[in-house]
Amino acid sequence: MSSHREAPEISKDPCADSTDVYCFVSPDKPDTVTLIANYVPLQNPAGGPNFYEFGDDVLYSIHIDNDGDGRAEIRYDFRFDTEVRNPNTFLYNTGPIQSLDSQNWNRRQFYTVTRVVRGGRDQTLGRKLPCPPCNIGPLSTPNYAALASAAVRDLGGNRRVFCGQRAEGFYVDLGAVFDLLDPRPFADAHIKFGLPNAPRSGPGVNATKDLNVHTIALQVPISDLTKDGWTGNNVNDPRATIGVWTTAGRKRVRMLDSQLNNTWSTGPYRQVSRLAMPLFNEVIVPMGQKDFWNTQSPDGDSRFAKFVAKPEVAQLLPVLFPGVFPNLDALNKSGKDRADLLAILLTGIPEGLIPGFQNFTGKVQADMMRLNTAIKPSAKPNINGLLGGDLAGFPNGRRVFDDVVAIELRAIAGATYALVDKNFKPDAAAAQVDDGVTPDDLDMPYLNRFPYLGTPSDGFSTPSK
Amino acid sequence: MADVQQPSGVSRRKAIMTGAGLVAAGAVVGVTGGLVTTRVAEGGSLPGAPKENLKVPVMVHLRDATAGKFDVFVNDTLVEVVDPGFAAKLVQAAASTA
Repeated sequence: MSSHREAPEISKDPCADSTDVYCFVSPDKPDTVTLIANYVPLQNPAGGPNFYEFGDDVLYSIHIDNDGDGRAEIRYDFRFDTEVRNPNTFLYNTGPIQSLDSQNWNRRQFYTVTRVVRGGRDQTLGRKLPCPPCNIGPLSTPNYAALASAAVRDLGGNRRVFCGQRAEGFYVDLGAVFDLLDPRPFADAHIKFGLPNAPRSGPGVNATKDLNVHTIALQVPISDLTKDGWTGNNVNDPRATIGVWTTAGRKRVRMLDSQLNNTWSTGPYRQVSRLAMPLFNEVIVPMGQKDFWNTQSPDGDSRFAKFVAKPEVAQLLPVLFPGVFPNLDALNKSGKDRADLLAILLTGIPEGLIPGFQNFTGKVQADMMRLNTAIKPSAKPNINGLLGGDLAGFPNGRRVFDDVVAIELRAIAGATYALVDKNFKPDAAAAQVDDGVTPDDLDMPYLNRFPYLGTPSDGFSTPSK
Repeated sequence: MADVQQPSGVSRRKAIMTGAGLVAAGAVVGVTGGLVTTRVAEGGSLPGAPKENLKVPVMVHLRDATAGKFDVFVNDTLVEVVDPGFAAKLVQAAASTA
């Protein structure tokens, strides 16, 4: 998936598992940027009695590079603290939760958000801010949307924050993608390995439908993020573009203490998860380096550039779909580096390739989500982002509804190689390949306001499958 | 966040306080970028047992036995302690279990 369970070690640690990053100029407040970091993947809404929460022992961070060196000039840290009202019951709640201070809610979580500027002083933006409960069902959380709205907190200065459960906004036909890359709409063209009962073509199936995730959402003025507090309309101003990524860190030592009968952690935080561009660690980085990649800083990503230059998926497509990608096959066999993907994923797209657009951050190769803040939100957004002619969409940042699976699959299939080689003719299939799911396949719709991700599915209405 | 996240200012202060306690007990203390390094004064380990327990858990890792280097984890901080004599005792104890 985007980055859900994308590496062996982090797949065993859901609380710290970064699943998606979104960053975009807020459509309803275009002088601000919204940053969203999701964690705790694939939540079955009925997963009680211990419902999902952030880790008190995890440091969650959103990083911003505004000078192109692949290092964070600005970082927002989120630390969580869980409070139990009554340890003598097994219940998450003992009655309906109708407010964030409800006495019926037994296990509440609060957080602190801190702004850290490289070389500057830490600034605490908010303390003891409440998370909403998980969406349990009509008796426990009868007016969930109001609870969640109450957890959107104003931090002053045109800044606001939300941390808590939301509906999963990322959509993908996971079952088909990981069944030997067999997108259902194109199944008839798949090699099928001679198996008699191989799937036939059909519509995609959204594997994340009805699932929830935990969201950290922060909306701040553009000037909080850009170099020198720059704001403006000049798309080509190098200060217009920021690079964003998220991480989770755990303390280096964890002790299962039999004497004290509890578990404690100590020492400095060590990064165990990171994420910027969707699918980077998932399908670009090979298995043997995925855990290592998660511990690294983007400024050292040149060591992974060879996997971008010759991505494994591009090699697989002509093999799995014989005769469908002849031009991609020829490109693969030419041994040329995929300069298009190196730009999109590691440096940003320089000026001059796409009219009216650039998100180039310089020569340092770093996996960051690059957002040109001078490009205003689109009046008619296209889920295919830049490939669909929508300059405000992925890979110019990422909006919650952008179809990143289709965009990246098409780019890897060669749809973007003509940007760097005018003589290259993409295969017809490169513009069509898709897993066949769209936002229409989500159970809960997106919001048109902060935090933009939809109301989480509740456990009663979405029983375990 | 790079390999190891920088500790916050509060934690750094706590680390320095920890180091200060060791200074009082006869160790040499250096601070570099939030990492506190202590070297036990020549002549052996710190004298005597502490009079009271710390209020927070402390974990010690013998990182390099031959150099007598320990990593001491406390709060958000790593304190590096060098004590070849103590390392030798631990190696001896570990060997006795083999």
